[in-house]
Amino acid sequence: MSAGGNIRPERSLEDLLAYARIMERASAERYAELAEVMAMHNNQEVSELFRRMSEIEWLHVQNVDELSREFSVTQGAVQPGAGDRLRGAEIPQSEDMHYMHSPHQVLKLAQQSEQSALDFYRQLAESAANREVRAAALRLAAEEEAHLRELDAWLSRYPEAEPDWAGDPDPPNATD
Amino acid sequence: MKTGQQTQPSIAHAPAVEPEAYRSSVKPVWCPGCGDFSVLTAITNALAHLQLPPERVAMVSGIGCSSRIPAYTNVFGFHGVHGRALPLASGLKLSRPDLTVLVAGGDGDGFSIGGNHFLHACRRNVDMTYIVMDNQVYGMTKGQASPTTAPEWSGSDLTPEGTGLLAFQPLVIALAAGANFVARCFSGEQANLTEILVEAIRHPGFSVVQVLSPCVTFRPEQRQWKNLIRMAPESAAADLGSAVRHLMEDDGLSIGRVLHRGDRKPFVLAGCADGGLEDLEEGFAL
Amino acid sequence: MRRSVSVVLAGSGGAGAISAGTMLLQAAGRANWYAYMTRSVGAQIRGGEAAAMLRFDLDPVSAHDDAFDVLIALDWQDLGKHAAEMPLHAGSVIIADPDQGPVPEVFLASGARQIQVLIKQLAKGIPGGRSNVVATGILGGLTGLPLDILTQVCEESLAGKGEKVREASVQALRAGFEAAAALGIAYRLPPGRVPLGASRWNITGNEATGLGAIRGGVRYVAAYPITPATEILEWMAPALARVGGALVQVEDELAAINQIIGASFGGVPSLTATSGPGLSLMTESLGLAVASETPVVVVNVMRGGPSTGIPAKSEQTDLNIALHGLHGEAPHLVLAPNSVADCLFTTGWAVHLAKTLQAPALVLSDQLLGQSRVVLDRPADVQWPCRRELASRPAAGEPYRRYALTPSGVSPMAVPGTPGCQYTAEGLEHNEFGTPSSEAENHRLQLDKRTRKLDAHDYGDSWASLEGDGDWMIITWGSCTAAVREAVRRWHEDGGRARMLSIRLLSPVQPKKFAQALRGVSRALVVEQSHSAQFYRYLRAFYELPGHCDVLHRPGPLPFRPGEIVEQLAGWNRA
Repeated sequence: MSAGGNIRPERSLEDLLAYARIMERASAERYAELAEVMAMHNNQEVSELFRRMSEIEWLHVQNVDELSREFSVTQGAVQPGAGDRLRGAEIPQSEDMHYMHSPHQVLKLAQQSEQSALDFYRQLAESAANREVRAAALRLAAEEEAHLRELDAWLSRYPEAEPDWAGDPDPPNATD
Repeated sequence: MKTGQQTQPSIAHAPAVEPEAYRSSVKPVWCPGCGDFSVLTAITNALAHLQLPPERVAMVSGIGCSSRIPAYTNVFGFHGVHGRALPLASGLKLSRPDLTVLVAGGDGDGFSIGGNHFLHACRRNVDMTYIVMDNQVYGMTKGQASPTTAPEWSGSDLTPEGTGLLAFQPLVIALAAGANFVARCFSGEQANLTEILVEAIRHPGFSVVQVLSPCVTFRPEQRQWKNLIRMAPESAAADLGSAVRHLMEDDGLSIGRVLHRGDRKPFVLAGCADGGLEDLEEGFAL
Repeated sequence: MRRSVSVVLAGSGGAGAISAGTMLLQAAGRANWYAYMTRSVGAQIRGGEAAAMLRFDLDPVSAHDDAFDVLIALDWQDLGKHAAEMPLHAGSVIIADPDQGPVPEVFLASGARQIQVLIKQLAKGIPGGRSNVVATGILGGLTGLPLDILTQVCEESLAGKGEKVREASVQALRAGFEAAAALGIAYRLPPGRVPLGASRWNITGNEATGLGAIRGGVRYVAAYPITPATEILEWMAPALARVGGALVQVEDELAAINQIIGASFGGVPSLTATSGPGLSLMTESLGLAVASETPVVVVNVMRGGPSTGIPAKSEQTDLNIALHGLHGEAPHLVLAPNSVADCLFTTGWAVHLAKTLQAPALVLSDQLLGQSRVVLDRPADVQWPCRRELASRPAAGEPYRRYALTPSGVSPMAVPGTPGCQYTAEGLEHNEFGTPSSEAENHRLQLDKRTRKLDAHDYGDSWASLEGDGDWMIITWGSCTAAVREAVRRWHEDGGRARMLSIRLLSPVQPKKFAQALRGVSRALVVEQSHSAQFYRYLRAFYELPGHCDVLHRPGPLPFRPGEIVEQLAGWNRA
């Protein structure tokens, strides 16, 4: 929603790569956090999934670093604004989670995040004025596509959720 | 007691403090889906952006799910009693003006039992930032109506016909009582929340940031907030009157803009410290 | 030789009885006497009836005598209501203005003599003359207060009021003096003597409390007004500012207790003062101070209870709530000064103990101590050695344990700003790191720790005042102590022997010291100002009393007179 921040991915290669790196890193951290949250709520299967997704995102961070080297871009050239670390299209939303989510549901949610990142890069590739930005955007889009296909593969391994997936027979507790 | 300025660390020489440095190793017990996770992330990112040394920040809370937040941070914290975070934080900030003081809590803690202190904190205008995680319910005690709950909500056994009471508009009260910085955010818009928190912390005086933060366990319908939230119009922030009008007339789901940046001077203590015990005792001599 | 004289000066409707009394007290001090003043007023904010009750003595004095020698009334409106507080004896004299109507029967019942003086007419005869100043002159003349001293004090008190007012007052004093001389009666005290190098103060219990707090190190006060504690706060506001501290007025007692917890958490010793209703409000957060191990001091100037009670009168009935008013197991310090001078010592000690033991300390003063004005020997300076244990950065790799289990029970406390020592202070039960915990073992260990740190501390001899000798003992606390002391002194002067034990540290209890103090005591009398004998029940609950133990107790507002206590001892002799 909000378009603020210092980083304008369409403006320059430095911006785009800064944006991508921050976003991948934030996703990695977010998935790691979600892994812990799900473990805390004893949903081990989903926790493990999130842990693996976090690892993949860290690989993406490394990819961005390689891209930067390839394009001879110095990292840290663009200073992020306060909210820039949390602005990316791909960062999964904690608010969409449920402690009783099945792996299938969680993967679907992850796919949504990856899809919006893919859409973002594709759109950038089509519309950016800067040639280098377009090239890099295409590469990043390709990354996201690969990730999406991987998620498809994982998805096929898990059954869809039952209609009563959220049914917890225990009442809630008051703890404070 | 010196009326000191906050000391900014020298960024040139010290290694940058990352957001993770403001997190403790204690794992939050909040339900997956709770908006408070995002608020915690936004707070740590805001503190990192400001590069405040963790030992110079204090977070004071009351009782409730969101009041658990100090334990999840690596700054100094005080998990106090229900509704009394604001006076505790005021006493701390007034006697230690060198610290950056954040106050955290929910809508019940802050506006029901804490309502009186909220009023007077706005009046007093001590330099601190009050972050209210508003989910329009008492989550910790399993789902009763709170002062910001709509009058017709019938989801609680305590008020099965709804409360019938007008929902409290905290930001209007804040403006009327003199709060120096007022904004409403949404936990699902973290970048925006982070930016506004940075500004709120920087702004002198009493800053109130109301964060709509869904409770997925007792108000599952709040998962829809992300589809209903919209940016407040620029006109709402034009002046005090526009802000009040906007807050009183909209549906409570417009966010993302600072609605008031006041220029009231923050309340500080000025001891003249020109005497000692002997001077005091002189007063009793015959 | 007369060693003591007691007078009452009463009037209503803005007559100025209390200001006159204050002047007399100051003059008495300047005349090298010791002096003691209390007052009794009606419920109106202004214009009600008012009486200043004074006692001048060659020896230190902090209780009223059994009866007053002189009662001088500027008028009699509604004064009969207060008759019980100003008992007269057959040798007393009532100085009455015949223009003010007859003396109420209740005062005459004592057998006191009536003398008429046209006070108002005397005042009217002086341009700008006031009746209360004439009456002051009369009392000065009767008691032997030198006129020049009285005049000097009067002029000082009128410093800002202009030459005419001062001149009128000087003349009115003289007129009163001359009228007294003409009466042919006298209650003169011989001149007093102050040893070389000694100095004396004119101070109230509330002022002494404030000074004691500042001496103890308090630099932050959150204040909410309540009778009869407001004066502590009003005295402290400018006093704190002068020593680099501050006082903040807050919206209610809940804000007060929580603000001082916040300030203390920040490393600044803090305090508030209240009375019974305010203490009731504060109990939840006092528990927070216990659980989070945050030092604070709350002075409770006790007044008549329950509920709104009798705000301007004294009673010793908040003992129960002070000891037992916190929910859960919440050991904390409870202290009680036992004289006006002791308000200074005990409050300072409370601050010191709270800081050292990281616990809240309640100081139970009362209206009688708080609002009595006394001329006394300057209290001794007391040095409080700093025993605060503060944490600094822990060893590398070691996380800081705010609530570490130590032999003494006291865990070094990190002040915000100390790097590497960040922690969250907790009202929830917690482990050593402060992380909330519901586990049985943590709860037991932390309960043990919080109890141990108070019990293991060596409180020394200050835990009580122990005086006298013999097998009979009077056990008391707080404001009753002055009357008990005087009773014991009279008993000794008459050839008897008795001990007094006035307990200053009420919690934690000191069974060993108590047993030691009671060695050889065959008979005890407990004296306290409460309807249900709260203090006696406290002693029964925690201490071994001798088999023969009587209780002299009644609710406020009437203070005990030394004679009543002597009468109890005499009764034992007869038994």
